[in-house]
Amino acid sequence: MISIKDLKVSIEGKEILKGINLEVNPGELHAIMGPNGSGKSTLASVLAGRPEYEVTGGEILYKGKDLLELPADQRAKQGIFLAFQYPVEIPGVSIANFMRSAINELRKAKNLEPLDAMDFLSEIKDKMKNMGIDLEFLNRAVNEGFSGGEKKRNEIFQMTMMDPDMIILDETDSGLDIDALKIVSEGVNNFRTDEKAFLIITHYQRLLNYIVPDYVHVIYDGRIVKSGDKSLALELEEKGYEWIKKLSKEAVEN
Amino acid sequence: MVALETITDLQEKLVTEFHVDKNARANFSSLREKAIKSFSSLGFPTLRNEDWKYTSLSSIINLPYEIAGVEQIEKFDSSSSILKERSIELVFINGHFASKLSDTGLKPDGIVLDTFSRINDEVFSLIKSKYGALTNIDDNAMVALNTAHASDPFLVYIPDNTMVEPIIHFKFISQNKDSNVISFPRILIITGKNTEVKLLESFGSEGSGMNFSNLVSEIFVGENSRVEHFKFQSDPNESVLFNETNVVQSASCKYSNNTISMQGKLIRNNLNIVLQEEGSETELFGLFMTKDRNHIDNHTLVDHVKPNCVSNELYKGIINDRSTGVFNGKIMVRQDAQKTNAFQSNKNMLLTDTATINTKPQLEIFADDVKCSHGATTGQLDMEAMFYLQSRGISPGNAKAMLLEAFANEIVDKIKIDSLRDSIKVMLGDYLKV
Repeated sequence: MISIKDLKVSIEGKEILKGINLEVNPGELHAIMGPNGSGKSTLASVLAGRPEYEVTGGEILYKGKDLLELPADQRAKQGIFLAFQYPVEIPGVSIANFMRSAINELRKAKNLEPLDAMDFLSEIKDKMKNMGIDLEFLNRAVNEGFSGGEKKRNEIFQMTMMDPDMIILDETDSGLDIDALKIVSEGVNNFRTDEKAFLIITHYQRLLNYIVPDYVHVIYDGRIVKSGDKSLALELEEKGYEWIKKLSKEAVEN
Repeated sequence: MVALETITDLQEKLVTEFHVDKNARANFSSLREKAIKSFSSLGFPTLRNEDWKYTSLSSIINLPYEIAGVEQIEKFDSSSSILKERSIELVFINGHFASKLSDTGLKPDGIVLDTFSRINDEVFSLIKSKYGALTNIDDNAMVALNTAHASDPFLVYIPDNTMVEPIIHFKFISQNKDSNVISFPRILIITGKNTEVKLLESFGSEGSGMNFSNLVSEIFVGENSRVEHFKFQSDPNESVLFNETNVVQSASCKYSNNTISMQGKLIRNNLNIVLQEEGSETELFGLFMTKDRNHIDNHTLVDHVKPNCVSNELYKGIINDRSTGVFNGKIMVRQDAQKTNAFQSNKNMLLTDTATINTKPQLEIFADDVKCSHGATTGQLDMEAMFYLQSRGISPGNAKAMLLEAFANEIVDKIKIDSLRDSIKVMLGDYLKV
């Protein structure tokens, strides 16, 4: 699905990613872990096309094509979805207006007729029900005044509406209590199929109790310093990030 | 030097072509003579005038003009209306009331809608002392000019205990035949006690020359009355509008104004409210959007004279291309006006590096037991929100339009007339997509 080769990324002249290599195939769920400031969220942002970041080296192939050529909206239309760590509040834009615009732009890209208000409503109702979201939610402004849990649930709800192929969750567990974490995880798990690929970015192992990864990568100082299966997350939880820093230091010295 | 000479040309023309028939009854000849003298000595405002610091008329008054005559009343394209429901439609062509083009079929009994020359003596005696009472012809050159040249002002008189259900829609149409025309519509609105009325002003123009309208209104809001006033200033032709509205509020009444300025080469709005008696409320909302090299200037004044009044003001600007917006809002709370609540806010969005906004919120408080606040913010499009929308597949153009519509709708949503609000939203959507 996605193939990242020696990716180097800077922001305002500072190199954040210093050569990332990662291959995610359809049906796989990869977790990216790492301490704060290691470059996890930068990777998520670059994949989604956030404009402030400058790619200084390497490449990203998505479905065999150069992803870096595409602006953010085109990436979304091609099936990339980023659940934001900090979903943005947009006063005055209702969820209904936002989602209907998004869905209809996706449909247009696929040469499908736009959904009218009625069709859109029936489409959206089921998915809201699955996420335990009230219908009145549609009239609220996007993320405005939402609790942390509501914001994250809204992200997962948008994911189910947009039906992407490559899903990136950026610290979706941060700011969630255990009940919200369960709902969000269930939303993700129900969405897993053999065709979809996932990249889950998280600081803590906790989320991976609910969303079980096929692979775990640890990122530190802009590089993936260790990869393994789900047991790596547990090992990391036990030994702490100091262990990784030591590993990384040894790797650089050797 | 050339510019100066031409300014003098138009000024001179307006002075020399001034005439008033002293014998006609309702012509306010002495007021008008005084007004032309005042204009003659003041001249057109320049940037040196504090109130016109950011708005230059020099390129406008540089042009040769014809003073609008009554004979130009012919017809106009009325195909597109911003209201779905039938209204009381009052058409003004180049400032002159066009009764044949108007529709007063829904006029309730008892209310007067006519020009000064056609109202009866009884009504004239009721309004005689009111005309010109709210305007300042000594210092305000544009108002003096209007007062001098408005040969037959229009009266809306609403007697006590009258609720006017249909909207009173003033359609100000400017027409020219390949020449520049300057016109002087003038309105006097008086509402009695316990009345309710909704006023709408819209503007249009025809012809290849410049249309320059100088519109002045005076509005007396009676005790315990409600006046909702909408102005929709959108003229795709490059016209120029000076629009002064002077309102005085009696006790326990409410006046609300919603001014949406969308298109036009140059618009200057003066909106002056005097809360003359106790217990009244004022709401002023404005949305101004400029592009190309256009210029919109909003000056508002809310004068709290007596206690226990509330005023609430919000103006929002979207400034694009090389255009300029001006907001100058003043709240005055006089010594007597205890227990005043007065709020004012101006929020602007600049869409380019070459767009300019000049904003000046002013508060002058002479009473000690009041709640007042004012503030102005100017920002750009929220790039975080832009990225968020684009990450959901929304194209940059649509994302921008969505954010701007959301910004603008805070004002548009205050409009309580459904069909008007809906039409404005459609036009706003089209405007922002370009």
